[in-house]
Amino acid sequence: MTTLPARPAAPTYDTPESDNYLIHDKGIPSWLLTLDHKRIGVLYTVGVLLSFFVGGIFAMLVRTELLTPGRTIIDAETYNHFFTLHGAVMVFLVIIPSIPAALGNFVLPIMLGAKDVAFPRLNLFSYHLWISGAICTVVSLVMGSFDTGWTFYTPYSTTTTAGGVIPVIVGVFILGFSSIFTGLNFIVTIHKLRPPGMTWFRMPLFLWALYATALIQVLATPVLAITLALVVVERIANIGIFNPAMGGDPVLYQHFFWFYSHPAVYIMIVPAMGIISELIAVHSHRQIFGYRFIAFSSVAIAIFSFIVWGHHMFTSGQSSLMNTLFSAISFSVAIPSAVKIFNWICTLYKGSISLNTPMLYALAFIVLFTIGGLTGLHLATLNTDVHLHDTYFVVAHFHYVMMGSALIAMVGGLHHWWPKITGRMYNEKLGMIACAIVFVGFNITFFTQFMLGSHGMPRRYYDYQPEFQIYHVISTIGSYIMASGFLLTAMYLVQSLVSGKRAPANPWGGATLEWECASPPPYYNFHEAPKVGDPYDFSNLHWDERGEGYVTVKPPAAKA
Amino acid sequence: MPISDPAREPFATPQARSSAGLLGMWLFLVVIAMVFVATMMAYLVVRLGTGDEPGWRPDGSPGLPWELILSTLLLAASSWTMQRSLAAARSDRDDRAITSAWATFALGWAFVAVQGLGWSQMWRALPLQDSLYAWTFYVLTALHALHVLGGLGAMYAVIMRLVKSHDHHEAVLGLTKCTMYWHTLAVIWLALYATLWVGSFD
Repeated sequence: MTTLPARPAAPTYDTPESDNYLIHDKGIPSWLLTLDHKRIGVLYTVGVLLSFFVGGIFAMLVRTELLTPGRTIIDAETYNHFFTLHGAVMVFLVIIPSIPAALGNFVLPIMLGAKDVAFPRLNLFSYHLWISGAICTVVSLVMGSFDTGWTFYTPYSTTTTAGGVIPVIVGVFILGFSSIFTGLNFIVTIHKLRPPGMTWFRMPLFLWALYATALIQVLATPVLAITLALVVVERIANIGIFNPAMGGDPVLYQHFFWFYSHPAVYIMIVPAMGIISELIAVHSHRQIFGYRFIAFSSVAIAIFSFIVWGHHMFTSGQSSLMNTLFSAISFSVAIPSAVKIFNWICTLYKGSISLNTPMLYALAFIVLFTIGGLTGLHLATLNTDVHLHDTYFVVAHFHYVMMGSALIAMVGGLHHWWPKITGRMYNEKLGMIACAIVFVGFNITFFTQFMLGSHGMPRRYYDYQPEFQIYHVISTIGSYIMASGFLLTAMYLVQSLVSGKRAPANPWGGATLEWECASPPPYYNFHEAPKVGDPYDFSNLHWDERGEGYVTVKPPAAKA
Repeated sequence: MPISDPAREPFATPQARSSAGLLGMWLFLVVIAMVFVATMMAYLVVRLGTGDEPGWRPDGSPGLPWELILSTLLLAASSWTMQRSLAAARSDRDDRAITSAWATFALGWAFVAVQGLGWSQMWRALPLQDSLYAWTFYVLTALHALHVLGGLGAMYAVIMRLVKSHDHHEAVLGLTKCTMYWHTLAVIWLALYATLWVGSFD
């Protein structure tokens, strides 16, 4: 085998010890005021993972309470607060920023071949907004928390006596702007900072997904902002835009909320799909199947996302014509989603699959997203939705999509880029065990809830009929299993920071540009604009035993 | 503005940075437009929802204050002076540009002041009551006025940069963005006023 490196500029694996983005500047202010997209990405990642821990604790408390009908550990009021906190923290502080803001910030500019995002200061400002939003949520907890459900439906949210409603809504408003500015930054970066050679159709699919996501962030989030502002004004000044007693319209709130929050579901899932495209292609070392179809299906999903919100409101009394239209359009979202699943499976077919942790998470995603997506069709069907609406079936469906898909992809992506971010390898064996535990625990928790819901158990209830108990017990046991899997993940990831093996520049054999940087990347990303090739051409990448990583090997010149 | 460490500057040329800045501004204007379109939609849904039932406008309450006509004219005039300022700056006549920009700044404050007069007119007739007619007026005009005030803050910074004139290119870029924002607010105000006007009939 020849070992001629095709790109001699590619740094060897021992240079990053002398200077990389992690050690270029020292001290806490150098982190909190950094303009480096990689550090901002790391800061987001830490924040998101801490929030995930907090949201997870609330989830465990809610599941434990539901072990028995009636009181198990907490009273009904507290239960209402806890499931609300679980939902609000997980949606606004974890899943929405998890992929675009955390991983996206780290990966996007390097993958693109740029030195940073277009507006580094705005990027830091977005992060400070995220912190402020998180602080508002903590303030809300101190002031008496909130029990409105994460959707803040009026008129309950404008009349409840819980003391923390206004701070948390202000917090979500601020988080919204954090998300808007991140999206704006990414759109401009992708338009204006592609180096020579990086054409639209040479962009890795994760970047296409982040681009589609950014469009939704910029177009949909402002509507949430004004809606929440109106709720705060309504609560403070006692006016009635959303209050029927004063001539207002509570269903108007639902329309506005879902005009944002349905696209927000795609803010969560589209970048997750982008990660899966990377994981599947890199870890099966095979050219992605149907590149353009995957790229355009991301954009198609982004467009569809704006015209399906009414499917959350089939039972709100909206006209049957609207119901029919929203139902039909919702079905059509299945097309671009299925296109992706089809392409991923075709990529796996005859691929040289490395069955490692990121790949396991990608395979878990395909299974869980398929279940989550197909059960979405039951809910988009008008007559079955009347039965299933506001039951555990809905809870199970959106957990399969938001957690089983979006979050699982985030964790898979975290493992994929962990060597790049930290410069350390995690324990592969433990990674695979933890992934299996999470997968099994997840299905025990949430598949049970499909049955629970179709038997008629309403969501959000504190008390229930005794015949539902067996399902609740199984679901709770599943949640404990899943939690233990995540705790194991946290342990070996932290352990890898201390004693993990040093990561080579390209541990997986990826062909996108971030794998040409050292691990961890240098402060400047690229000293000169990198040479851009096909992001999914793995034919010249070969495992190098000495460097313990993949290196590019030029094919021997064809003899004439 | 370029970032302090030139080796980390993401753009190859100042021109590339300017064009990225303008695209960013366009996207920001889309965000602002979405906010106002949503607000006007909310207003229309609530207004149309009350249909022909009496009670949208409480008996004996006034129509929209006449001050709004004056403020509309002021805002239109400020848009015109803003455009003149930009044109002058682009042809390197900075003195003229600064004068026109200050005129815009003054007209902007005059707009806010006249809106305040309109508010007080409405407030005298319909103070803190449960009337959606009055409250939607307050909420919509206040939302717009807040954006105008934000624009005036930014405009002050832009004018100061033009006055100091260390970097003409940067100063003109700032003025361009400010002009884009200012025209957008003027167009939004026209749409908002028309919406309020249509909704004010009983």
